[in-house]
Amino acid sequence: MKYSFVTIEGNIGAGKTTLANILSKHFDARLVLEEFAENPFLPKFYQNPDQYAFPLELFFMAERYKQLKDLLHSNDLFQNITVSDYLFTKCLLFAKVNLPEEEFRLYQKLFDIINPQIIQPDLLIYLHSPVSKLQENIKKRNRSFEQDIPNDYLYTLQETYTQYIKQHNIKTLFIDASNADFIGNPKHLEIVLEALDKDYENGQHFITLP
Amino acid sequence: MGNSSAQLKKAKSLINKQVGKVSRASAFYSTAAWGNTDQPDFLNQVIVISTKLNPAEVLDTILSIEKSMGRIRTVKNAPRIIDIDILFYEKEIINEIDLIIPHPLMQERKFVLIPLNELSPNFIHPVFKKNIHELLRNCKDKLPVQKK
Repeated sequence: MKYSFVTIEGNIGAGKTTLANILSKHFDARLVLEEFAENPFLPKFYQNPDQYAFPLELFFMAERYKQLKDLLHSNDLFQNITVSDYLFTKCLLFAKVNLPEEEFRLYQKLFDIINPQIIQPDLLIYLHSPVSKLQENIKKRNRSFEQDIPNDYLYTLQETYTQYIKQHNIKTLFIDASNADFIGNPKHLEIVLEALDKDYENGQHFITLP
Repeated sequence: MGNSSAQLKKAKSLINKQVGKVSRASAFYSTAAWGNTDQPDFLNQVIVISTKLNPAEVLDTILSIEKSMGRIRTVKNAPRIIDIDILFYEKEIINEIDLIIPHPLMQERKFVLIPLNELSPNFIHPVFKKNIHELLRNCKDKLPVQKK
């Protein structure tokens, strides 16, 4: 394993948390997971996006900051491996999609103040799945408030993520996860583990699973 | 941009219709797929357009063109069959989470600089304050770029 801090990102339902759990077990790594269940605005947001987008994104930013700041202050960061299922930048990507222009500018101001204090992963794993597959996964995990997410919303999030990764030349393992089965197919996990032993340059490195 | 000449022509015609009139276009240049040796060669082309759209609107339109051209995996592992980037928007400097203009990596990529140099060697990069010809001379990219 060449990396001490790996973050798994992807659209809603891409399988971030599943892979993060598996990798953290495999490496006996510290696991940092998004605590979406504690965001009281999330179910309300899906019912009424215009009204609840700003408090929703603000809440997420505060929670993510709290979680990731603690990470920086704990001593064993450089001895241990850390695996997380979100980037702090996720705040800004979702805000870009969900907030009207003026609110987004305000949000970005706050983000720009906080972001430099956040430790960034040394490798990003991006799980890419077609929207139809995401919807399938969302249905399967059956969180009640997620069941009516429009396809367009998932498309827009996907574009925003991929555009961000592309434009910022982030060191990324871009995994075609359309048929990913990290629990049932040991070969799939093996491919990811092999990749984590390689020293990658910045930019996107594409991986498909058999 | 990337991929086959038919796709490049189709993209150019869609851009001409939806973004703005294409006034100039470079030749096609082929390169090995950047950063991924498993993929077949890419074709690249730089075009100049005049548009009434603002940069964010240009980006949205380009993304929808990419989407409409499909994501059939003719190129193994590629998330899309064509990749369209904004290199410059006049002399504007834009720093958004999903859009950076001038394109932040153009100075590292000969497959961008060579066709750009064919069209506008004297255009001054608004951030580096160097013209395209100078950027190309300073570029250390070793991937071979061939005119088609």
